Amino acid sequence: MTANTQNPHLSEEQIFNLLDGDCAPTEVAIYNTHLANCASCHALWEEYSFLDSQLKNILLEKAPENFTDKVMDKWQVAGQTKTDWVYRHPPVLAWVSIGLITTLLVISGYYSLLSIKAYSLGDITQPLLDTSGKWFDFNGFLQQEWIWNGFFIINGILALMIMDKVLFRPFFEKKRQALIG
Amino acid sequence: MQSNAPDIVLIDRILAGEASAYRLLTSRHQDYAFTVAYRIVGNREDAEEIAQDAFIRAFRSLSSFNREAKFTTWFYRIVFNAAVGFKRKHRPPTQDLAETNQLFTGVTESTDQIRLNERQQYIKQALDYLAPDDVAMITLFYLQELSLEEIAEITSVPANTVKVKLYRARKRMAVELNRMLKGEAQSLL
Repeated sequence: MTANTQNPHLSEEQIFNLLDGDCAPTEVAIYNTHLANCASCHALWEEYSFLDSQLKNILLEKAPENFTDKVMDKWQVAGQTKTDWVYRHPPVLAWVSIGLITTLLVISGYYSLLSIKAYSLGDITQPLLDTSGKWFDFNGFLQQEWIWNGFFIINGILALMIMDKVLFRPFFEKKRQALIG
Repeated sequence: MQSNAPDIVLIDRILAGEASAYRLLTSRHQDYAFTVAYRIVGNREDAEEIAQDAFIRAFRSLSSFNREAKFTTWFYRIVFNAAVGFKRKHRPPTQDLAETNQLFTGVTESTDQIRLNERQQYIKQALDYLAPDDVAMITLFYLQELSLEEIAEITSVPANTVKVKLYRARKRMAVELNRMLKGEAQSLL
């Protein structure tokens, strides 16, 4: 704070703080008292105060008259581009279904290889895997009819959801934008 | 639609697909966006392009806008980053001479108006001597009367640094004004 023997004047930072209202009430009173009694500080205060007022008045530049129209034109194009983005990036559901199908193909392919191996050994009547005593008969599990029914139903639903998101929604969204625009 | 609807209401309608809401939001903020871009790049054509692209970028990111934040702070950050990025990629533009020569327009201006125009023109020229970041901060500070925290968020600079930069920029402006007017600034101011 000012009014000391080293620096009897207000610093420029203090003047700016006073201008910006960034002072405690006690500081405001002290600064104002000093400004009332110090011609040089008062002159500096006037200079910065006027600069502030001028900057507030002249800084705003008017945008060109057709600015909004140009933005709306770009917005129309941006809306179509957003639709294209949907096509380029497959949805998460697609990746999940691909993963499920791949997993089941790998499993079924594994058992196919086992069958081929058993056949090549000349003993196709004996099951290659002796599942007795094991706590989970995975081979028998995959032979359950409801497993395959569920597999086809789930993938059918996933396929319909993907078609809806990738094909039908963008198509109708474009129609709606055309009506609004 | 009410033209004085809050920004957040317009944002909801834009996300619902209302083109008129987007037009209203654009017209409401176009001058400020253009000003921020112009103060950084110094060229009206480039500033117009930057401001337009900023509106499109904002539209594309609107779904991720934090509704608890101020739209202006979020949007001006987009404008600021676009303008600063443009300036880094391109060489400094030539001075907009049409702007510089707009001092004396018309033959019927009063003496007071001429003096006011002179003061304003000198102040604009003093802005040209500042670094782009400093000009942007001064513009944001005076134009929209944003707080130091908001300016810090827009410019990705700590609030304390914003305060110091603002202080130095304003002081530099006063120095440049005095230098340009060669001592006459005191009488004009």
